[in-house]
Amino acid sequence: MLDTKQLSDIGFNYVLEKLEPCSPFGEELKRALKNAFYTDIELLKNEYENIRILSEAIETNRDAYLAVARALMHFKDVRHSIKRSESAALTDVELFEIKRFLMGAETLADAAKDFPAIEKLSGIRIFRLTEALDIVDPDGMRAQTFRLADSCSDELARIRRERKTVDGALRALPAGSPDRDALAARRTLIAALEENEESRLRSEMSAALSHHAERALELAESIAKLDLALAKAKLMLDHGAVLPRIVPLGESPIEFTDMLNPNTDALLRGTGQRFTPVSIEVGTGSTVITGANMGGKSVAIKTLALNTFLARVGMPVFAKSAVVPMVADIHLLSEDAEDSRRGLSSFGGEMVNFDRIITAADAEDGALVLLDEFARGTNPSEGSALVRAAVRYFEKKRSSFAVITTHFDDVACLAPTHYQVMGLRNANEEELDAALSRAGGAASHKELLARFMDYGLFRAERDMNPPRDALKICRALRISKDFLECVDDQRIR
Amino acid sequence: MLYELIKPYTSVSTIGMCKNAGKTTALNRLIAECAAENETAALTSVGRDGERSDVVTGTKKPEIFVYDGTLIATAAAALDLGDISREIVETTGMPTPMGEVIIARARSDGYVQLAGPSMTAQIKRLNAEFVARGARRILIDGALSRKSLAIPSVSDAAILSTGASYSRDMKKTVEDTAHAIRLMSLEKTGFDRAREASNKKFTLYSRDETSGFDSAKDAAERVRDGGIRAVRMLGGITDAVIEAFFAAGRALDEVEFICEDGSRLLFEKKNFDKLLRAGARLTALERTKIAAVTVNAFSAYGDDYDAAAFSAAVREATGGSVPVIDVMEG
Repeated sequence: MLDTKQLSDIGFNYVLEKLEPCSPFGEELKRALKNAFYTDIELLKNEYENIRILSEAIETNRDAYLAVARALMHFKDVRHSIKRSESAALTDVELFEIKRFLMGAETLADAAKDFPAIEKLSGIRIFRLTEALDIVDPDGMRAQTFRLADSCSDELARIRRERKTVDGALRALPAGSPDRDALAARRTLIAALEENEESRLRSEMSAALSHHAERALELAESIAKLDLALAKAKLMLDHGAVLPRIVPLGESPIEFTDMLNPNTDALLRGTGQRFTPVSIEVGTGSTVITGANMGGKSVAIKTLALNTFLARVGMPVFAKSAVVPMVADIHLLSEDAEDSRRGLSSFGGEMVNFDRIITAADAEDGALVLLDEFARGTNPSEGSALVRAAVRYFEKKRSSFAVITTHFDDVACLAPTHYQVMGLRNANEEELDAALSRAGGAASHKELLARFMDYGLFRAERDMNPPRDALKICRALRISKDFLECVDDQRIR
Repeated sequence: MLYELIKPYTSVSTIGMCKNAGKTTALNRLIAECAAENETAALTSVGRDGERSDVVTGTKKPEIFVYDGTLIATAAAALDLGDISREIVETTGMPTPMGEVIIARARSDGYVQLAGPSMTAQIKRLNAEFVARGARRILIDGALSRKSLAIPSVSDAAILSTGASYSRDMKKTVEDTAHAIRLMSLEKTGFDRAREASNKKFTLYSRDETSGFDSAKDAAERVRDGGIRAVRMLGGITDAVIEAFFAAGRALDEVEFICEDGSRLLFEKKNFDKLLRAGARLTALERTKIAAVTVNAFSAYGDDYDAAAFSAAVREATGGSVPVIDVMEG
């Protein structure tokens, strides 16, 4: 399972920020998304179908969509008061909020008439509760405020008439008048009588409302689902995301074409760069990604984690197209500063986490296991042995979708699928060198290098080892010449 | 009439020098006078700290009397302590210890208990809600003493209530009242650089430089190094802060001390006088307009003053700068 920090690292929080439901109901579903893996494939497919229907309707009928969004914006969460009507007399403030909710339902139902897509959605029914509204607004005035109307009972009307008379009489009396005290006492008494009668009427009203409580809660749930699905559709349209094709386990590998990490993309755009889309196909067993330092292996793995996660919680994904099986869970093992703070060496911490992950994945059918630069913290010969073992382990088990990034040699040959990051493979070295000579300062060197680096993945031969780019990168970064000469001496030896 | 004095201002805060200074009496007078002018008034208060326990237990009876049509914003539990016939107008989502702040309209005359929000931004939002619902005059029941909100940013003017309950010694009451008025009506600064945004507690300005500090001690040390023309101080300024500047031991005769507004100066009069003697200038980003001072010669503790002498003394001590009204006079 991805923890809160990992969800933030892979860019999920960034995507959540872009998801903007209008109502507190939708907002609540949004907050629960991080724990909302679908278990029923049909429900997940239905959700995507809902998003598809809504996104088409938003594009063809923008004004009607905006009217629906406006109607959603005015809701407050009154579910607590609705439930309370079943056991207690509501206060006037609660009745006010329920009246607003019921009037909001009328407005939403009106807006929905011009946005017929809503009728085609599965699991979402928007309806009016006019009978309930008539209980809290018997005169049918439909004012935005709440007060028990005089017409609620003859007694209430009588008390209020008398109160008006006494108020008027009190106002007319001069300040020091001897009649004042008696009249003021009368006023206090009438106020109490009015409160008693109102309280009795509020009990009656609450009891009558309670018969509609169940339907009102159903409506609130539908409003939540509609609101969130609309927000997802809007996000998809605004950010060029797509709906993944969801398949049962065993039917297809995980396939993403030209996927993006919108969080990383936004950071890159801040420095004038763009995210290089990543295409990948991951089946059960092991898939290995190798590549240069600074080449974006970690970004690729996080982007895969993010988009697979999005597909499992019913969100649009950031890619040109995607096929996602019902993976049971997602595990990510990457360098984690937390462990070293907790006192474990980074290697020790990594192995403890690794053990936890393989134990969990072993108990699950079809988990996505992502190991980023596994065993990088130990010596290369043992480190490489550990990575090779991991590749073998997942190949043998065949129950998980394992993706392992490494720059160790002789790992990829053990896996059926090997991707390599393009890195500087296609960079014109003369051009790079010329550009670097023109640039000043270490920061701009790094930036320039990033611009020549190709972060895309390509399907590599199994026996192809990671590229020898480390020294190329050092030279490009204009690392001290004296030092680089020492490096050359070492290599000659 | 108080009404005539507040007529130019849409929103007015009431502030009391102490409990029983006559603040509620002044507020009730204003409400009644607005009603007599057929003005729709709107009422709220700045929190309810000092009296909260009384309010919650219900031992304190609501004392504010409003008229049919008045808008009020008060916490849900306080709303139930009143006896007006009411219409619920809006729920604000602003939390208080007594529940969410609710906007209601009085549909009869009657008593209300005010327990409004305690943040400046919330009072500002209520002001806007009131105006949107047709309020012509907004009255804000402020806190006791000056330990209140930035009055100029929530209201156009203030009424200060003082009375015999403040001290048995009339001279002290008069002096402290005059001092409070002097602080609140501090001159508005002409030093425009002090209006730049920064959230540092202290911002120091030399001829060419601006530097920010969060501790008074660090700021005072910088003042000692010389060349500082102005010190802008955000939030409440206590004796400890002012004493830190004295401790730095440099003549302050060329320094302008700028606070947000006079209600934020919480230090004692002796330190105020000492600061002025040191040659410092005190100014404010915003000036509170004091529309009137109300006096109440009756003490809740039995040591009443002579009403005429008290009024005259306050009038003299304030040098005729503000109207003085005796709220207990008919």
